[in-house]
Amino acid sequence: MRRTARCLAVALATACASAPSTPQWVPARGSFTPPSGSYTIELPEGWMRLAGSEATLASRDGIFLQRIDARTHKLGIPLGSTKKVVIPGMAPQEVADTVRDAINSSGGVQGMKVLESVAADLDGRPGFKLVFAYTDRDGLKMKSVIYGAVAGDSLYELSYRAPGRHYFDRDLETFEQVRSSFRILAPPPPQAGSAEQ
Amino acid sequence: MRQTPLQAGWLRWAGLALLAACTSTTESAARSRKDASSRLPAIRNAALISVDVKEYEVLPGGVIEFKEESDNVARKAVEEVLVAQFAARQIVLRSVDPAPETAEEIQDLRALSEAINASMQFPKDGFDYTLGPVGDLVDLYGVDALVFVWARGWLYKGGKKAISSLSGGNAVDGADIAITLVDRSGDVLWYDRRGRRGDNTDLRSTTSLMELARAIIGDLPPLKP
Repeated sequence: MRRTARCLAVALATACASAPSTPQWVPARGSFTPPSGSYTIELPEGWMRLAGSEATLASRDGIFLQRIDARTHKLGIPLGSTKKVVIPGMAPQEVADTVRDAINSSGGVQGMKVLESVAADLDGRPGFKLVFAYTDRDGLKMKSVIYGAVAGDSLYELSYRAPGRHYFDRDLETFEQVRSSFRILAPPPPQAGSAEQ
Repeated sequence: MRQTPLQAGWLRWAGLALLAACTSTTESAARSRKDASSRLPAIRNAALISVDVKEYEVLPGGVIEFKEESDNVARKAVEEVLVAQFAARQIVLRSVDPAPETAEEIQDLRALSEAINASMQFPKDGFDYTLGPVGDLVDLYGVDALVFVWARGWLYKGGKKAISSLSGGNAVDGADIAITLVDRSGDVLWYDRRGRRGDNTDLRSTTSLMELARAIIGDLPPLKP
């Protein structure tokens, strides 16, 4: 029953005159800063961005075929609908493990297999890169990459996911270009020898 | 003006009769690659690789119940009408039972084809969807193309239909069928989705489905030699 929820919802929405309003997609090309001003990102030409949201969601062919998300999480607050929490002072690898556990315990991810979990910078800040494969609730094999870093009182997360078949590899380079454009507009990282805690 | 019981009864039955008569096919959602017309003539045989059929009952109160036992009957009916209609376009469509060694790949292809179906309303220019190369399956089944079918039906149970018919609502039985046609490159050459609405709509009935299938296959692009 759960596997078909997306399809039946689409069918009944089509049948219903009172279907909910469609999301507002706008051309993504260019620089985007969310209302909070917490980061900026350069999105690619030919992609669309969901308007009116603090988090960034962009796609070229539709969110079931590829999506790039950028978002922030306040430290100390559970990630998504899980009980996993990133707390101040965690090392990047600990943050990566927490994010991995949160994803693994979410309902939409089945058979999660970590392909890579390494240290990586995000806008020059020490962070992590997590690559994993999973099967979604509709039985589609997916792959995902997440970059994350803590800055100030937030975890900054930039992710890309797409079906493993064809789409993931095709748009991975585009995602990496987006990553290189990501700028955190938060307090700068502490300098070596600084007394800042 | 006050209605007599006789007038009220007549109105109710007139409403039901109108509902029964108002069976209609929804507009075409067909889309295709720019070069579909020139690639379609190369397709003489196609394998019906996946028929994902589900039928639901909508109970009073809007509760949706999945009718698992009706799936096989509905699947056979959908296959039968599509085979007949593809034949009218000189394409021999045949069902295949996935070999155990290909079952996992076919399951992934089915899920990807449905993700593409669900992306059709996303605002983008052009039509360049693909499943990635499927030459191994095309060769295995000795065909030129693969066909993926998704079908959903819903039957209203209880008194909601009678009320709806008199109030101008739209709680009618319905069925939607979406078809994806890919050649050995995996490129989606053609996609279509149509539905049928009205009292006689039932995925288990070939009579009910034939007109819908005719409309869908009629949306195939004209062939260019």
